[in-house]
Amino acid sequence: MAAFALVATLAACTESADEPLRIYTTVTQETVDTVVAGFNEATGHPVEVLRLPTGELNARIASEIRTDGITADILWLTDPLSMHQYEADALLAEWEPAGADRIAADFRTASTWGTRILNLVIVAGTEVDPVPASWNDLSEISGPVALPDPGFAGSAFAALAYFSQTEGFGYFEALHDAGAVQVQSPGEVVTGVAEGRFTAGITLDFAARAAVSNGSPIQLIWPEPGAIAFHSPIGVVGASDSDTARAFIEYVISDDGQRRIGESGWQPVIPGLGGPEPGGSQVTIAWTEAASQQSSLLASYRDLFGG
Amino acid sequence: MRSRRPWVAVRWGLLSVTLSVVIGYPVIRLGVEVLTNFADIGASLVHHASIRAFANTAVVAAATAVTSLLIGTAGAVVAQRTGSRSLAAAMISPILIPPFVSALSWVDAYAGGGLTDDLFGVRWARLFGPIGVTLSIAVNAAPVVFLIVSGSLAAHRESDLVEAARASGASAVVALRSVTLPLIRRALVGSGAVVVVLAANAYGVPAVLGLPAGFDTITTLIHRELAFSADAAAFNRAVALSMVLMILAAALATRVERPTARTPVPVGGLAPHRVHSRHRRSAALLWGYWTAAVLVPLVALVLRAIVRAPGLDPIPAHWTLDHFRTAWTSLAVEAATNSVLLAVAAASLCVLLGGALVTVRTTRLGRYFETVPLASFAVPGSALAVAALLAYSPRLRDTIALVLIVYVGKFWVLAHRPLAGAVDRIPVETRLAARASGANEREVLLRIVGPMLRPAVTGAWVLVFLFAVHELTMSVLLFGPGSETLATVTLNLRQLGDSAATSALAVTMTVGVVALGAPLFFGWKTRRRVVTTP
Repeated sequence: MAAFALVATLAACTESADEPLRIYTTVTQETVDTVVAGFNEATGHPVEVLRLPTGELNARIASEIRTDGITADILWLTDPLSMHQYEADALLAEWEPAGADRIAADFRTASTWGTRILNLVIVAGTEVDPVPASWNDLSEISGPVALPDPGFAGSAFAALAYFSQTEGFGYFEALHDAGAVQVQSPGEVVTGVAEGRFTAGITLDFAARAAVSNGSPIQLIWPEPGAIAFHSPIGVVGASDSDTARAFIEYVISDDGQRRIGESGWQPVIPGLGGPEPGGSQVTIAWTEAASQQSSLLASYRDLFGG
Repeated sequence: MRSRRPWVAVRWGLLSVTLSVVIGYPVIRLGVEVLTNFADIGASLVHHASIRAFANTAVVAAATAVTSLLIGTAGAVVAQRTGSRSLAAAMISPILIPPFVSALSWVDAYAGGGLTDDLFGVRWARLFGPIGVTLSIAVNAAPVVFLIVSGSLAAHRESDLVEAARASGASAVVALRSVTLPLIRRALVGSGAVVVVLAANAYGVPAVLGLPAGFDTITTLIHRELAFSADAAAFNRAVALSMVLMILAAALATRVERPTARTPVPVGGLAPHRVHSRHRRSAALLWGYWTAAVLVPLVALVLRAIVRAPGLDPIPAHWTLDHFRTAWTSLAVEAATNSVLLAVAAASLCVLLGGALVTVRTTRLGRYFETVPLASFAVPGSALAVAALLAYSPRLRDTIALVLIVYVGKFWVLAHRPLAGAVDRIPVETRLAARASGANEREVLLRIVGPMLRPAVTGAWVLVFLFAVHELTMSVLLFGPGSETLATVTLNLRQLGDSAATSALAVTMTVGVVALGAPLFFGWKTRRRVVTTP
C-alpha cells in the first residue's frame, strides 16, 4: 500500500500546471535542442519534447490515436514516409507558413514542410580500386557491400523507394547476387566498412562525414546520378492546431532556425544558410507513390535479404 | 488458525488485484485490439516469412535454454564447491552489459576486422546467424540460471549433502545425479522456463547478429512492423504477432514446467568443505569460457570506446576520451538518477510481489497465477508498453506510475523464480521443529526461513534491478516529454549509429554498476561464509 501511495505521489509530481508546446520527434537530440532553445529565446514560450526512435514514436502515436487522439501539437520526423501516412489520414493541419515558398516543391506538401535534407551516399574503404562512382558500380565491385535495413531505418526505406522507382527491383537482386549484406543502421554500415568487413556500403552523409573527420579509413562518395536526397518533415497536429504551434514551424524554417540546423551538422532545407554543402547533384523520390507501395516493396525486399 | 484467515484473504486479494492491474487488463486490452482488427492480421500470421521467423525463434529459444542451463548450473555448482567469490562474480558479469551492446562487442572481438582478426588473423564466420545469436543470448541468460540455481543450492545446503554422499562412497557422478540434480530440479526447470521466454523475446542480439545473415526472429519481425506503424495495418500486425509470441512462449514454458511433488529433504549439518582438484579443473574451464565470452569482447568494447574512429588501429596514438565526453554530456546526472531510482523501486516491488506469489504456489489457483508473470515476460517490451498505454491512457499517461506498472508486469517473474526455486525445498521439518520449540510464525519467518532465503532474495533483487536499469524500449515509450533516463540517452546515441559513444556509455554504466554492486555482493558472500565455516 505504501508503495502505491508513493507511486501516486510521484505521479502527481510529474504533471505540470503549464500548457507547454508539445513536440514529438525522431530528430537527433542535439538538433532539436538547439532549435528549441532558439525558439525559446525568440518567444519565451515553454516547449516539451518527446524524442524517440521512429518505431517507438510511431507505436506511441498509434496507441494515442486508438485512445484519446494524438496529444502532441507538433510532429517532426526524420523521413517523409510516416508523415505521408498521417497526412493521408487527415491528422495534420493544412495551412501555409510564412517562408514556406523558400522550400523546394519536392520537399513540402500542403501540411508538411522539410526542415533539413538527408543524403544517401556511398561509403567505401580508402583502398578500394576502382572507386565506385555510380550507384550501379556497387554490384560490380569485389567484396561485400553493406545496406541498412529499411525495416529499421526510415532512411534505408528511401533507398528502397528510389531504386525501385528508377532502376526497378532488379537493382537489389543484382546487389544480393553480388553478396550484399544488410545491417541494422546507416551507422553500422560506416563502422563495418571502416573495419574492413565490407568493401563499400550505402549510408547517410551525416554518419560518413563524422567518421571521415575523425580519421576513419573510409571515403564518402557522392555517386552518379546523385545522392538520394529526402527531407525531414514537420507538421502541426490538426486536433491541437494553435498559433504557438504555427509559430514554431515558421521559426524552424526561418533563417535563424535553419542556421541552427546547419550548425548541428545537417544540410538545411533552405540553401545558403550554412551547414554541410551537398557534394554533387541530388536525386529525389516520388513519396506519394512510394508510400502507396510500402507493403509490397518491403515484402519483396524481405524475401530477398532476410526472414 | 482462525486469526490467520483474514491475512490469507488479503494476500489473495492483493495478488489478484495486482495481477489484473499490471498484466491482466493491459493484455486483455491488447487482445481486444487484435480481435477488432482481425481482417488486417489473419493473412500476415500464415505468411511464409512469419512462419519461418516463428520456427527460427523456437529453435533459438530451445538451443539457448540448453546452453545457458549448462553454463549457469556448472558455474553455480563449481562456485559453490570452491567457495570462489570471484568465479561467482564472473558468472554474473554478463548481465552487467546490455544484450545489444554485448552483441556489438562480440562483433568487435570476433568478426572480420575485429580484435582477434587484427591480432591473430582469426575470425569467426558463424558469428552472424543462428549459432552466434544462440550463443550470445545464452551467455546473457546464463546469469539468470546461475542466480536461481545458486539460490537453490544455498537454501538446501547442497554441498553438505554432497560431502555426506561422497563420504559414504558415492562417486562424483552418482552424487550429482542422486543428490544435486534432484535438489535443484525445480530451480533448473524454473530458470529454464525463464530462459526460453527471455530468448524468445530477445531483440538486441538478433538485430545485430541475425540480420546480416538474413536470420529473422519474431521480435525483429515485430520491430519492423512497428517501424511502419503509422500504417494502421502494420501496427495491428505488430500487436498480433506479439500476442501470438506471448501465447506460444507461455505454452512452451508451462509445458517445460510441470509441478513436481515436494519430497522432504533432511537438513544437513555444517561440514568443512574440501576443494578437490577436479573442482579446480572445472573452475579453470569456466574461467576459459568467461575469457572468451565476456573478457575479450569487453576489451574490444573498451577499445571501441577509446579509439577515435572505427577502423583505426587500437594504438595509443589513436586513443581519445571524446566518446566518453559525448556519452557523459547527454548522460545528465538526472538521467542516471531517474533510471537507478526507478530500477530500485521496480526491484523492491517485484521481490515483494514475487514473495507473495510464492506463498500461494501450493494451491491449484496459485499455480495458475504463477504462469501469468511468465507469460507477460514473453511479450516484447514495446508491445507491453503499448498495451499499458492503451489500457491506462489518458489518466496515467506520462506518469511514473505507468512505468512502474509495466516494469512490475514485465519483471515480476525474474524475482518470483529465484524465490520459488529457493523456497520450494526448504524442508517442512525446519518450520515444524521451530514451531514445536515454541517459535511463533513470525519468528519462524524472521529467524529460520528469512536467513535461508537471503541469498535468493538478494539474487532476485539484483536480477530485476539490472534488467530494469538496462531496459530501453518500454521506458522510452512510457516516459513523457522531458524525462531523461539512461534509455533515452542510449537510444539517441544508438540511432545516430554512434557505436563508439554507445560503447563508452555501456562501459560507464558497467563500471557504475560494478562499483555499486561489488561491495554489496562481496559483503553478502562474506557474511554467508562466516556462517558456513565451522
